[in-house]
Amino acid sequence: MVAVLGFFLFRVVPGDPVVSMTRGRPTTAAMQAELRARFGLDRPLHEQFWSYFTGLLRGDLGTSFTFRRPVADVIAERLGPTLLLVGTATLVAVLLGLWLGVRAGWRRGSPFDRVTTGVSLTLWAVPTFWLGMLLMMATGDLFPSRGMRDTDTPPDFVSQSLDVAHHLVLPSVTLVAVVCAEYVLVMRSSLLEETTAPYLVTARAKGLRDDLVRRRHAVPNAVLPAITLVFLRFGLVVGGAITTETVFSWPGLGLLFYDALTGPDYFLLQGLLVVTAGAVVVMNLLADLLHGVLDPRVRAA
Amino acid sequence: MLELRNLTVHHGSKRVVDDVSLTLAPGRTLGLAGESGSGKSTVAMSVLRLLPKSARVDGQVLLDGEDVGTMSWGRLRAVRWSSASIVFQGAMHSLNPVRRVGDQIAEPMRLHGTPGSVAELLEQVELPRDKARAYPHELSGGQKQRVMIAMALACRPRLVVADEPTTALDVLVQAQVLGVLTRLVAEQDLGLLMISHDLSVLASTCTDLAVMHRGAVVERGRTREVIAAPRHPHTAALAAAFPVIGDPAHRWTEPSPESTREPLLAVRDLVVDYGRTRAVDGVDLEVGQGEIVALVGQSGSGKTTLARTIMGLRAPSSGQVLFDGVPVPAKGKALKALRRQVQLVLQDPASALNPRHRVADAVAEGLRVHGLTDNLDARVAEAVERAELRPASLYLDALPHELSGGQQQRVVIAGALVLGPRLLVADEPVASLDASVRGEVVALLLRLRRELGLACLLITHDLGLAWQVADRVAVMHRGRVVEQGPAGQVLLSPSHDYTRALVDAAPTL
Repeated sequence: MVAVLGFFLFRVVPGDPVVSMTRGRPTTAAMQAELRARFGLDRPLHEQFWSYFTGLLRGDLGTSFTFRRPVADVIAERLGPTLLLVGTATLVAVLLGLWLGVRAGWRRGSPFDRVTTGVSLTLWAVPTFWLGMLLMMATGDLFPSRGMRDTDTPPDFVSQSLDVAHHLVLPSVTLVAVVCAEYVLVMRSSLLEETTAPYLVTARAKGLRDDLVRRRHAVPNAVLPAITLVFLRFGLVVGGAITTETVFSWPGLGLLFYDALTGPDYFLLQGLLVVTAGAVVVMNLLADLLHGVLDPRVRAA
Repeated sequence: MLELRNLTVHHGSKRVVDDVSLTLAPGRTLGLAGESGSGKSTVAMSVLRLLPKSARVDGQVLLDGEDVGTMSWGRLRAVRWSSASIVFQGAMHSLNPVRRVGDQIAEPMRLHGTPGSVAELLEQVELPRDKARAYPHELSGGQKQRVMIAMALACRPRLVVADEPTTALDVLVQAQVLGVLTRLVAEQDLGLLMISHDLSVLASTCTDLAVMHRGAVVERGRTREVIAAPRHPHTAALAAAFPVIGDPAHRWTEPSPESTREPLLAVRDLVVDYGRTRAVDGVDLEVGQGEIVALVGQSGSGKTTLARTIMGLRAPSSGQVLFDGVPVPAKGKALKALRRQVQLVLQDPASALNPRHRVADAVAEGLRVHGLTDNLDARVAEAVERAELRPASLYLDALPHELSGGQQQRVVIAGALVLGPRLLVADEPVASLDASVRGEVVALLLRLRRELGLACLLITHDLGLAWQVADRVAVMHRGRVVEQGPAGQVLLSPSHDYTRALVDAAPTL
């Protein structure tokens, strides 16, 4: 399904890969025709699809026009940086978002709640690229704003890691700001739903302190919907960090997506779509499995 | 031990509890009766100062001579559960769904440093020890309620407040839970404040009784005396609402000649399976024209599945449902036509009505579905008046939340009547209603039968209701009809053990 959609969707993208491939170089019509034949672009659409689809079943994603290398290799190379960025951002956003959401929801209407909700909504509404650029300007030269590592860093592991971490700051802060808001709001509203639950009255009647009522009884119930969301978002963010990666030239899948679209590099785009869709499906599955571990009611069913 | 002095509680400008003074000595049991909204649960919550912050509390609540209202938070937390504990209503929601019940029982013991073991507590309430590892959803309603009782006793309090501890439980399970509670109260010499809308439950457990009405205590005294000779009309109304099986005064239906009656609905050897579970197992049942048949049994006995199959909402695995001699069609136009003849009335009118539909829309919906839109307004008004919402013009524009529970149920009945059905399938039609309106709705069903010749299959676990209105009674147990016959015969001289157990378990005044 994803393969079919990906194949035909990107054929509609305006632009001719052969033209952009040869841009800036003197080419004749004959050379272009030869290139077309080499990539199979001269054949009818249904034949192209069939050879792509059978290749896909064998695990062959095709060859990228721009990189002149197998799509699978190109994607594998870019997967690490994206996972690093998205993983870091998600981890921070989850911890921060759930904590803020619990605090805000438990004391609904307090100044803390109002500030948290207001800031979250604002950050959620702000366009990512604009926020990224603002951050760049605001921090000046404090953090590097392009790429993942500097060329003149010593090759030993420690300094390499520190360099990557240094580069990681701005893009991950941008991504956290955007994703975190959603976690805050979901956690807050799901905790609000629990605050009137009768079992909390039971817990209070037992003589539990307010923070114990929250920690032991309210949060374990309220966190369940939030966990599902975290995983669903993680799957989406893998493919959806396009703007952040583009703004900060982070060499991940998002930037690759952007580059491939300007081609358009059909095989690369199709491959990326398959990979990101796969990520969403896998994360969905993980969310379901984890929900089963955390919620005894699901475990039984 | 517990003393309420001029307790008054306001929610906003509304006075929910009005100048209530009660005392409870150690080892005594006090019943607090009243309808929903009478303020009885608010009294329960005020004992441990559990009311929301928005509530304004005046007067005093003295627990062992100490005023709960002026305690520091620390002192209050120490008193909660160790001096007095509460068995909350609806154990379903009062237990934390994601924690094992053993942990929940042990939690207050650890908190207050009380020695003791969960296993022992479970044994006291007659549950096996290994249930400590269960989650609430793995237990039945009666088991959950017993877990609540075990939890309430965990810190050996001297006062237990039980707020509707058996509402929503079956008669048999209710009898078990009440048995456990009374035994423990007697054994451990506890004070018990028991709150219920059901006088018969209080009569079987409490030595003293107080009746609340609109926030105020209108009558109090020894239980036996209050019930035998109620001085306040509200007490009398509450007592009258619970029919005594065998008492001719509570049998409202008039016996009708049975011999010439054509069967309107006939169920023949019906079997319905849910996957591997057999919900209905070889049932034969008949409902004649204008006859009221009560189908009684515990929850899980297959009553509701049988009703759904009769309505054509579920296909039978084998056997037949005949309406007017014709098999109930499985789908299509014929089924739609049948649904005009057979209408369903559900238990909880508040959830059966769409909260955003006006009464007129709710009633007219059936007509619209069946394309009978000519003369719509007149038909709707007539049905509403038939359901005794008079004059109809006063109610047609109302939204469900503006009506009382009894009025909502009348709207549901009007929605069924508007199609001119011949059979009403009523699933616990009065179970969620207050005592004083319950009688009116029951009377309405009887009047409809008399005036319209409407037959009714009444599904209920309430034998008193069956006694009140039914011509015949069928008893269902584990998917089978174990006994059926004229109401007097089945209820007064039951021949099957299960029927006998049901009749014995029904609490009496």
